[in-house]
Amino acid sequence: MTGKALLLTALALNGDEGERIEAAPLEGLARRGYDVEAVDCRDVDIVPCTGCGSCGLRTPGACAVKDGMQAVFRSLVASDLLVLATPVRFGSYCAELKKVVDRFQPLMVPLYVVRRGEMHFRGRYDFPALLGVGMSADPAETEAFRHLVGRLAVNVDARHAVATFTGGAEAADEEAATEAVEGALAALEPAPGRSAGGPS
Amino acid sequence: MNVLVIEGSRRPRSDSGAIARDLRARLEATGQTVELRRVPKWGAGREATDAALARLAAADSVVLVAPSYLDELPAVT
Repeated sequence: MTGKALLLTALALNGDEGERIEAAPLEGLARRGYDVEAVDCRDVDIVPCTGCGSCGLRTPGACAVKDGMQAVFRSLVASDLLVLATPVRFGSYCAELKKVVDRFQPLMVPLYVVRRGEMHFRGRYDFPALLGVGMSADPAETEAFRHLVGRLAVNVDARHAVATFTGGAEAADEEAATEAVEGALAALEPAPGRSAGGPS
Repeated sequence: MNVLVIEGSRRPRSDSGAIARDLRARLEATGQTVELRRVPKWGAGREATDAALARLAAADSVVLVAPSYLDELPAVT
């Protein structure tokens, strides 16, 4: 599966760390032939979701807050793959990236469906496949991150895969990180489609 | 015991706020000292962060009350 990939990052203040978290997915996606649009969420004016509910009922599908998220929405729904690349913080995304994920509600219809025995919102659009890329040297944090990306996939009804790496600065570490991303992308490819696969 | 209750919602009159205020009342009724803080009002930047960390360090117990955004705490929390 190749096509258009939207890469969302929230690079940490530490420049080296930021470069390493972005380099692996960029290289991995390039090797698999993806056309990549990369967005650093720290460079986009996006405010946190207030949970006003407007996108569900008053202005269905449209967020009441007009900011940088509108461009992200347009790119996201036109993508085949959404990549969330982040240093892992307390087992989760960087807050700046989570702020963007929190704004996904307009992509959902305020009607519940049952998925995997759970009640979830129905998707307004076909959500792209989801790849979580996390950098952490802590195994517990890494496991929590894998779980959270999986839960996000269930919520948005997307196939998903997760790549994690330790973020070492040696050339071998960088190659291992890229290979982890490539491996996760390959895991997404055999699925024939959303109707057949569902959340993985 | 000093309890710090953190409300992690940005919505005015949020359900989280109602739960947090009810929790504060219940804890105070048992003799606990409770401080209720709303995350968005903590502000941003180094000074605000240091102040928040000082309050966390001074608490014996911390309670996070927040909506679940995609199975997680919201970014602001």
